[in-house]
Amino acid sequence: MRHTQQEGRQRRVLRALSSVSGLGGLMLLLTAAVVLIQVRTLSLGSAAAMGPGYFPAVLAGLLFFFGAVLLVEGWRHPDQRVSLGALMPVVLVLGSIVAFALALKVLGGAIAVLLVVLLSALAEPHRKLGELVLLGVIVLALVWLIFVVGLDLQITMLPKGLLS
Amino acid sequence: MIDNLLLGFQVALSAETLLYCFIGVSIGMFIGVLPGVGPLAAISMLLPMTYYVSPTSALVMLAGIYYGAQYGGSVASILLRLPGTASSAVICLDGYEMTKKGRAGSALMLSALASFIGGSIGILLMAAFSPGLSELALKFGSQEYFMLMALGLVAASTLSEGSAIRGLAMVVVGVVLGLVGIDLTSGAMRFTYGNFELMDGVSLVASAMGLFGLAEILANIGQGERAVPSSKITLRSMMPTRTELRDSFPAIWRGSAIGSFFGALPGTGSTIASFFSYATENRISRNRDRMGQGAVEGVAGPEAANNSAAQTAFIPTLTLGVPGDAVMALLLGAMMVHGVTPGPQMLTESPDMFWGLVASFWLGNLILLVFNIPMIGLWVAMLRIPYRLLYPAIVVLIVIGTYSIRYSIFDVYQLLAFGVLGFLLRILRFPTAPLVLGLVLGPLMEENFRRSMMLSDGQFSTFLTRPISCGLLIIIVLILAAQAVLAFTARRRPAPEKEISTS
Repeated sequence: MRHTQQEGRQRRVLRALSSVSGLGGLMLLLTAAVVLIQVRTLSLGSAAAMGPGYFPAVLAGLLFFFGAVLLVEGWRHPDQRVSLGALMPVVLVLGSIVAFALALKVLGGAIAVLLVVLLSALAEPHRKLGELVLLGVIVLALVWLIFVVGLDLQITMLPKGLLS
Repeated sequence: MIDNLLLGFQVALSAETLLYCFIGVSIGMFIGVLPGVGPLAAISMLLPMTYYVSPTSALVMLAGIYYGAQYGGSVASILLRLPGTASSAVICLDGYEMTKKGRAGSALMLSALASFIGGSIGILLMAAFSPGLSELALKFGSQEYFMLMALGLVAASTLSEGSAIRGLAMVVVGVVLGLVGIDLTSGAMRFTYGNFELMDGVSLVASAMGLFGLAEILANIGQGERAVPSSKITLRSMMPTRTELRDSFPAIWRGSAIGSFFGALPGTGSTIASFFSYATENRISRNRDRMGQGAVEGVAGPEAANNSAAQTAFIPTLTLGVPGDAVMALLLGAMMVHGVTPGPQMLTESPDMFWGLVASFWLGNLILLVFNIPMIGLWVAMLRIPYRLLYPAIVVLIVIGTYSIRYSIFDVYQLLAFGVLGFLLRILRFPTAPLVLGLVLGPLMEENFRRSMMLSDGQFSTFLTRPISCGLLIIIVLILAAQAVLAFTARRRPAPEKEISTS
């Protein structure tokens, strides 16, 4: 009997911590901890002559307070579950940015832009190939007109080997 | 004031300023019309472009996007029952009913007219009150500034939608992010972890684009395609009848007054103003029985309110240097990038810029009224661009825009980090606008806090003994107390229900 009660309590704690508010509270506590660890390397000074660590230390205190309040909220409303939604579109759009960062210096601006268009476009299902190609060409032309011609951005559009 | 306005028009009527004003309001109108792209995202996306132009032109353009979006926001509300911007959501109610009755053209015309009158009144109030307010603000010490910023942050994070605790927590996270980099007083590195590119601090552009631009796209993907407007709008159908005009004007005056008031307060912007105006019309207008069934007051009042609010929102930003919402914080950040310090000194040190801005606001409103009415067909056609074709182009714009500021791949990774953060905050239901507000104001707050404490020799009571600072502190405490009471009563109510279900 006592065993199951304990198990129930454990489950309740886990549910509270993984609810929207509980998880949010944990994130705030984590942030506060990161701030405090950094503050340890900075001098606090005194109230009249504050060092670089004084203000962040105050902020860390506030974050601990807000985090604690949200943890209490999570304990009271453990049923508000975190819903991630579809993750694939998020991964594709954010991944297209990684692709840009990796490709820009090596493959040139044109390919980097096309990678962004292609990967981010795939986040929406049922794409037609023709539409994607057309979209890529139009966006590339716009980028060239706005950034290279219009704003004189110093960006190498073609891959390194082709430029001679 | 006349002299000042003449000076302003001299600046605003120069070819360059006029061009950027036109570009700004047109982009604003465009993104206002399109549901799913808000002014916050659009301004973050265009921040990098303004690094290439003069500070006055940059501000004229960015401000134009903001109030232009207020004009455009009602188009989709009226034609499709889809709000183009949050502040025009309430216009769906009567605007779409008017469309169903075949009065779409008239509704669009009345909303443009109401926007123009509301905007003009807001600008007049701005011209009238700014000099006095900035004179008062010149007497402020660092204690007053610290409290003023604290009030701005507290009001903006608690009065907007969502839970107050979450808004406040995001403000603090934003302030922490604002401290990243070299501490100017001591020269110490904070939160840089040996990374030299973080020495100048977190990039405002990358954070705004990640938190607003990318987050908006991620929220909109997979929502399915929106409906397309079917009815053709002709110029003839846009003429309001005499009764419609007669009924609109009282609502426009009331809406302008409401909007001007809420716009100038920190934390309450055009969205609250337009909802408040609708509620007022619902009670006291001549056609109150017909509200929700296509009454013109339901379009004219809120439209006037959100446009006058969009103008008076500039008063605290420009005269005190304290932004009331995230859009104003971005504009403030843009000014600081250009080496302009907004605040009471701006009126005396660069009056041409201040009055040039005021004059350009009015010209921008005029452009919106005169040019956009004949172009309404074009804006309606814009609504036919499917989102699935639009958003990849926006992602490209965001990425290249971020990169172009310093030619830095590291900034692209910052953008990515803020995109991830924005996604996490959304699923955990934290608001992101207070974070950017804190990010911009954080360093200024620390500086004023330090100076206050230095001047008072470490006595915290300095915030209480100075009358203005103490008054501001009392307002902050009152807002927080009201929020605490609200949260407590709200939590009380569903509690008994729960006990029944669990027992």
